[in-house]
Amino acid sequence: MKGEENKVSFDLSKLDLGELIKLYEKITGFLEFLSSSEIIQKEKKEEKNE
Amino acid sequence: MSDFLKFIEEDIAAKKTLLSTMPTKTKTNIKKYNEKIDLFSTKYNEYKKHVKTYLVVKSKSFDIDIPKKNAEDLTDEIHRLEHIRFLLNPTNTFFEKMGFDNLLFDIKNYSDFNFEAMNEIINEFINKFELVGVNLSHDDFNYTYYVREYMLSFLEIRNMNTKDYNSLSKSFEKIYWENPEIIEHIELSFRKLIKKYRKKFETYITNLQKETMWKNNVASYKESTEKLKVAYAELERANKENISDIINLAKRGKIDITNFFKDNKVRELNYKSLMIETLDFNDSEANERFHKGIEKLRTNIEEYQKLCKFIPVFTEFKTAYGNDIVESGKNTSKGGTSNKLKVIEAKINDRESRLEKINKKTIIQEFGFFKRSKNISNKQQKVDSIVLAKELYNLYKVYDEERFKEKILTTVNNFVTIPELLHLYYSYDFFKKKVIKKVFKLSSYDDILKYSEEFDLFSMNPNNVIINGVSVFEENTISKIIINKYRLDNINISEESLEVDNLNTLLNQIQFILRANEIERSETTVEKIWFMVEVEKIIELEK
Repeated sequence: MKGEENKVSFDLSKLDLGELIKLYEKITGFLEFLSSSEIIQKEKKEEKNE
Repeated sequence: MSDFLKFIEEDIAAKKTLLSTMPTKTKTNIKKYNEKIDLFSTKYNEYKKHVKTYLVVKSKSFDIDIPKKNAEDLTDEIHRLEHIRFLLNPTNTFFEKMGFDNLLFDIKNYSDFNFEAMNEIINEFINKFELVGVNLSHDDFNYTYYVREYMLSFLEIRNMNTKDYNSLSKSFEKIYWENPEIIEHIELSFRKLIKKYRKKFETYITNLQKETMWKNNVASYKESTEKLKVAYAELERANKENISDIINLAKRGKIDITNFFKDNKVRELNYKSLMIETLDFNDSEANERFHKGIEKLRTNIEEYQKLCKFIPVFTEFKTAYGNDIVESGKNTSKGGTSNKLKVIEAKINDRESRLEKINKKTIIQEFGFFKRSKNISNKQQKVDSIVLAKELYNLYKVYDEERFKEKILTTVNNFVTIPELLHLYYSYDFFKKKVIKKVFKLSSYDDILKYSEEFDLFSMNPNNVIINGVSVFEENTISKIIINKYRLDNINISEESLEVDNLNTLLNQIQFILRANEIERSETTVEKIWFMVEVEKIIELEK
């Protein structure tokens, strides 16, 4: 998977306008998901510390 | 990777699956899990940055900046021409051109102002005299004993150039409790002085007219209105909404651009509601004819809306002067009102001369050598002067009404049109504000000013079309005329949509269609504008 990601080129010109916005929303949506997942871990850490 | 979106969708799904299968029970597991999240976040923040840059650059490439013609210069030009037209207006006299009728309205409504503002009105009166080279002193204010007393203090403060009218309040209060009609008497005093210096004001206006005409290369009132007509049309063109304005409105969230997509229900409904037969958008000729018709319709409806707003003014005019106008039409000799005016004028002169005699006696007794003889007769003289002043105040009121009526009867007949009536009221600020105050039941001075300004804008617009041939005394059939006219352009307007409460809805529908057409005719598309709006939201969100 690592090798595949490195090969990714940002050829956005082939996307239409709607797809471009959708792409941005997918990326930000996933970032929010990641951020909320990490927060759960931190809460667990805090609980353990208590 | 040709389809980056597809890659991202698949990548996100894979990464979510991977994370869901990772153990998180031990500290080491949690550490590894968080490291994975950090790794993915770093990568996706990188994607986000690149995609955002791409979106912003692409959005900017779609933007259209059409510099507006300098509307400010055109507005200044209109103000300049309006001032010329105001000065050359053949309907009114020096009294209105000097702005005395405007001040008269203010001083008659002095209870709407605070003490400082009321004194400012008095100051404005004096300024106008100074403009024609008359420097008034307290000796000029001998209308009543009380006027003299107040104006003595007023002029002292004024001559100090401090405009600190608050220090006058003590003097005012003392006089007010003895004579609550003091402001009315100050008004009378100015009216007498205006009469006295009438020639000076007339010469001043005549010279100002000549100078303005020469400086602005305008030969007549008619020429000034013709030039105004051109200037108004130019300003309208300059202010016309273009594609750049529409893009900005969409970006600022003022319009929902998604409504403009071709398959959108709102778009479909707006077009359908204003069409008689479905328009073939591929038929460029029919398309252009329809949209040009819609553009004219907007101008007409805006004018119609203003007309509807001021119908109570016309109704009041008919009630107040209708019978006199009909009677005057029957009589060949039109001397009735003139004679009445002369009689009132003679009465005013007689009462003013009697008042002057009483005041002379009072003032001499009060301030002169015979101070010791101040007695009961002096008190009686003061009472007499107030009684006479009251009579004079009412006489001037009747005089003003008769003067306006005379103007109406000599210029207006049964066939008077709406624009003629608008012009008449525009020329007589006092009566315009008076009728506006009455028919709209306004109590706030600011509201009267707001309505009055709106009335002036309507009456001054030389590009009014639909009201031009409409008689004040005939039944209003403008709505039917509009409906019939636009049927010829395949434009459907119902009687219901022309009801006052529905006019804004109709104007919104018209504006929607004009915007849709502007987008259609432009080098951009609804999709591109939608994209710019979405990018704008992204930028705003991350600010």
